[in-house]
Amino acid sequence: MTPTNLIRDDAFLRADGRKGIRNTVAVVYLVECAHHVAREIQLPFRETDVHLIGFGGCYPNDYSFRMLRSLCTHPNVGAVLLVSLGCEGFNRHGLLQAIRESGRPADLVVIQETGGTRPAIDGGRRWIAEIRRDLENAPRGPMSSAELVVGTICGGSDGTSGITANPGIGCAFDRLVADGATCIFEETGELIGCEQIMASRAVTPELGRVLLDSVAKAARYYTVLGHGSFAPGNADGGLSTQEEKSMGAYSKSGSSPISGLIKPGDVPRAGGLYLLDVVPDGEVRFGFPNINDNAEIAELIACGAHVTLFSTGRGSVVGSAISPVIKVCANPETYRNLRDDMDVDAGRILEGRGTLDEVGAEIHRLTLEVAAGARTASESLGHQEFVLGYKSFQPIGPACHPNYA
Amino acid sequence: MVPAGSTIVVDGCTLTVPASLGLGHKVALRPIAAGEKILKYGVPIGSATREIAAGEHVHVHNVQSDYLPTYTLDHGRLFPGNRR
Repeated sequence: MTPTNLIRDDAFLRADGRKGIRNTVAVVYLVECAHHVAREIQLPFRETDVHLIGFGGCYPNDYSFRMLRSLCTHPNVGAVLLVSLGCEGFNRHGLLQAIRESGRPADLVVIQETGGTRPAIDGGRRWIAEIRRDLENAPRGPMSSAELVVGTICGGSDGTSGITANPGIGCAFDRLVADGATCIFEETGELIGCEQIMASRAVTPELGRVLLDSVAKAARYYTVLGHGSFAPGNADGGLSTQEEKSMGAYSKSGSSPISGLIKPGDVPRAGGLYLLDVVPDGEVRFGFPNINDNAEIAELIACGAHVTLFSTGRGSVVGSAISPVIKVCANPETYRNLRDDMDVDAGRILEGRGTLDEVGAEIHRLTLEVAAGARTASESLGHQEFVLGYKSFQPIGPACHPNYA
Repeated sequence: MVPAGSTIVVDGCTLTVPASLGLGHKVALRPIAAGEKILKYGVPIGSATREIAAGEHVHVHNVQSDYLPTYTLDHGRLFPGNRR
């Protein structure tokens, strides 16, 4: 039996049985043409856990529908207002129905049927004000570490990321997995070069082959695009090659066995460590798979992440809509420069002010505190970044989740 | 930051660093031949594109990925290539 610990006794209990650590209202535009109206609806409430997310495309896409369905029924979300222009291709009625079936209050504003921008904004704001009063009385109850889902990502990596913040997150992941939590690491394109050692950690040889295939797919995809997951700042910060960056990124996964491979929107059914495959299946289409870090954070959240651990060396300042982001700063110079944006000073390891174990323990403790309600730096600063584009995926097969049998 | 001309000791090897180095950058612990694998974390992270002396800065000007090209902003084109 995996030991589990009580994280809080006042988690938000959703009608579908899931448990949230935040009680957020999502305002969701279903095409860029409805973005302004949705943003105006959210504006007066943006400091009161009302978040803006959405999809800009006019043409329907299974992936983006699945992403928004997963995000709108995320345990941190208590209610949802959809904002549609009226003529876009997004299946608004299907999404509205899925949200209502999850037991969450949801409504739909169609701008073309509401008399235009102003009445749509006024009506939307009235609905939000009302629903926020209702959400104050949302049922509360105990939540254990085994019910917690934690994602990790690195962004703005440099030569310090792989020796301080990333292994620090790896230590925290080992502790969280031991607590019974679900931990998700990602970006198969950032695992190019370490696929063999990663595959050796899979709980079955079949899963090991699935992990190898996922990295080979990413390498193919990025070769066609002529560009890996490597930004100019990575090189300025001392990283020379994709595989050097990969080895650093890989260390975020810690040393637990890998229990499965998931794709965006798949919520693991049991605790353990999972790899999220973020690179689309099939031939290369729709351009870059992950246009920036927030595209990947949104996918981690769509897989159920209540909290995301973000390692940065150069100094990313982003947070996210829906789920809080904990910033673990790898580089001590960056930490001094961007102190208010950071939650953890992992670069202190390089200056002899702490050990890797101490930093890992701090990240673990902070993760549980944030799950219990403490605000992260990016939350306090109002960061609520969100981006969602086009992709295509095939569903995962049985070899991807051997422990479900 | 390690200033140019400094002497540093790593794992018992004494190295003189000819150029100044920013935090997070790498130096060669021993002479590396062109085409040899560059090892970090005990695994290959790419190959040397030319001979590298002990203590020399190891980066995009003398290492290339065995998988994907490294892209940097200052010249707006693909590396490996000459740089600074």
